[in-house]
Amino acid sequence: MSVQSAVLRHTKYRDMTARHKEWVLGYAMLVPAFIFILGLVAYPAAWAIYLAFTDKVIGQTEHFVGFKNFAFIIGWPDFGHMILNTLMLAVVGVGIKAFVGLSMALALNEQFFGRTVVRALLFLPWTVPAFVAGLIWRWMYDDQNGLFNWALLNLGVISQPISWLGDIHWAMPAVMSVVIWKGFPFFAIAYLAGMQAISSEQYEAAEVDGANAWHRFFYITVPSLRHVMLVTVMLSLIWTANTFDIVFIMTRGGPSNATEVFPMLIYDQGIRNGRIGEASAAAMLAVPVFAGLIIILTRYLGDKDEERV
Amino acid sequence: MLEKTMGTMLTRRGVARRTLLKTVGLGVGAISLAPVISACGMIPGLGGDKMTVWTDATFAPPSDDFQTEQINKWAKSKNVEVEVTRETGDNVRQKLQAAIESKQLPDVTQVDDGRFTAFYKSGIFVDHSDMFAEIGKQWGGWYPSGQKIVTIDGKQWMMPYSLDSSLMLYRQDILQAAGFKEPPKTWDELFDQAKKAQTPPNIYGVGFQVNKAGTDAETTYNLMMLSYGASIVNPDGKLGNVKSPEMLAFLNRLKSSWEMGIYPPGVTGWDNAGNNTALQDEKVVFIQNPASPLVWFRTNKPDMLPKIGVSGAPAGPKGQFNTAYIRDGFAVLNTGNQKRMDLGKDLIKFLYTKDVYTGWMNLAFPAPAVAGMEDLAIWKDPQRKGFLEAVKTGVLLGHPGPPTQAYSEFNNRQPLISAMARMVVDGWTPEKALDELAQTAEDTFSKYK
Repeated sequence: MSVQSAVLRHTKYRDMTARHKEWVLGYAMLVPAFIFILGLVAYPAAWAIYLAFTDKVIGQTEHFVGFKNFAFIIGWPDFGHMILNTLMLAVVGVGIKAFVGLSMALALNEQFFGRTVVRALLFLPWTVPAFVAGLIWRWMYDDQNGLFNWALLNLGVISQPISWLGDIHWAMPAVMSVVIWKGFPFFAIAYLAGMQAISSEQYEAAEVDGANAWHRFFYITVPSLRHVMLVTVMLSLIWTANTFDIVFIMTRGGPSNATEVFPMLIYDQGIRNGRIGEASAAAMLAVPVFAGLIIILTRYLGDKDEERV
Repeated sequence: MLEKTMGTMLTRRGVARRTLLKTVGLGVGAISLAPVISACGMIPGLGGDKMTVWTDATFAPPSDDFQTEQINKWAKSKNVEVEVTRETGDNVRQKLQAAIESKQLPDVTQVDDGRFTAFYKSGIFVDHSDMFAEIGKQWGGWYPSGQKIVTIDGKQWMMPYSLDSSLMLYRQDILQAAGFKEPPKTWDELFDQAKKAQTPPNIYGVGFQVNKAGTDAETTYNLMMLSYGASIVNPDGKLGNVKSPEMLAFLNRLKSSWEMGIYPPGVTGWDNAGNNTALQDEKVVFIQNPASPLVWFRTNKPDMLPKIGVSGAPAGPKGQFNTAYIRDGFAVLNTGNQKRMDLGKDLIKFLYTKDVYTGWMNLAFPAPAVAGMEDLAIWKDPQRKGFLEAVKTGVLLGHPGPPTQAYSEFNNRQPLISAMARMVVDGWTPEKALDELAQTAEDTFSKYK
């Protein structure tokens, strides 16, 4: 064996070993993340799917029951109404949150005295825990001792207290107002960040060409923000459709079923009655809708990555 | 030479990577295990020799503090380390759900009748029959409602400690000013007195919730339903004839009471504290509730306390019913550790000793589960005596049947409040509300056949 061929073979071996070690190291680095995803996402998700097809009750052995749980949930007297309420809360709520968030972002993108303080205050609702927000607003809407009735009565606007949370016409707007109050800062933050990435030269050029403020907004700001808008709307639709705590604390679905939303059914069957199989089936029914939104979102984000490349 | 140099380099690189891998692996492992290790101390059964006792936070904190103090005193005398947690009943229930599924049970837990009915089938409760017999003998026997709840197949599976009821609490001063010297004996009288005594919009007649968040009202409507001769189940606990003429008569009367204008407009949005708040804020004449508003008045508005009357639920055309249920009870759980289970029983026996039990009863607000406390001075107070009398004859959830999981799930849907809300919020006829009520009952009970 010549020295040359030995060196060549050793170099090949070294390269292979190095590549192999790189490969091992790469996968080794992925293992912790993989274990976490497997343990905290995949396993519970798979278990929930399995339980949805069983009669699992807390503390008791489960048996396979096929689609019986799904039939029970779909046959729930308020099922259709709950879906409608959930959709209304999500679609109208997100629409208003996006509008308010955009308006706030536009205002906060301008230079004015105390802007930093206003920005910090604006983001406060986003940081308040939902159950705290629910309790505070429940008190403000309270028909017996609430702030709104006290103010309106003292101002002479109303002569009788309004039952904000007990009136079929007021309850959903009252709940929605809290969902909007809690959620609009997310939109404002995202839009403000997006606006700051738009080059001021575009606005200056448009101004030179005679574009007024509306033109600049519709032809520069909105198109530049459209990607941020899509992502925020999609994410917020998923979060808002899953709203539970605010509704639970403020109305518990009442009056009658005026504010009943889908996650409450999952809570009632799973936590109050311990019927985990039915609760899992109810949760599974919402999965296709959310999965659809997530697929749109990830595909869109994938396309964006390709565009960048 | 070249080979040696290359070999050294490879070795160096290999060692470096291995070291890196080891470091990363150990680091991640340590980070991952840290919460698990720290959690082990919190998980019952894994925390070494420390006994865990889960108790409820009640509306009478002095009684809670007294009980914790006694448990600690017992632990000291037995040279046992005990961790006592005190949380709301709902939280204890949710913790128990997780504990059952993870098989990490506390040694002793406080249990009410709802938790007992929900978890009995999971097999977590040990046989308490010997202790039940011994303590019953010591205290002159048990009141029947408590005994009935905890007895299954002739054995007792938990120890009832206190029984409670939900009674009519009313403003005696307002009723007397309106010319009524006695509290109402029938539902018709109650609605009539409420109408005549109220002065809306300041004070309304009745503060019964018409919202599913207000579970107190489910009890009120349940007792009214029974007094009209209607029921959901048969005496064997199986689903009965819900769509009966009696049930329709009850729903009609409920709806007509609304049309009298005696409910505050906000009751359709009240939560479970809504009726308490209304009485405490002097905005209604009648509510139905356990004794918590009395405890509140004692602390916050003592001058109002004598103005509050207490009476049993009114009668209907087919009789009069009060409710009774276990508010506080204790159970040793089946942890598999015999030494600890024996200690748990010893602790519970200690809680039934004369000084501890009567000391607690003097500070708490429900009635005892045993018959031998009727000579205590606290029962001279007519407000407290009302509760003692009610639990002695009160009926259980699911009357005329025994407490069952099926009825418990049905009741959790607040079906009677829902029916009332359908009629007064959605404008349904009593017949349509009855159809939905019967369907809800059928859907629920059919799962337990």
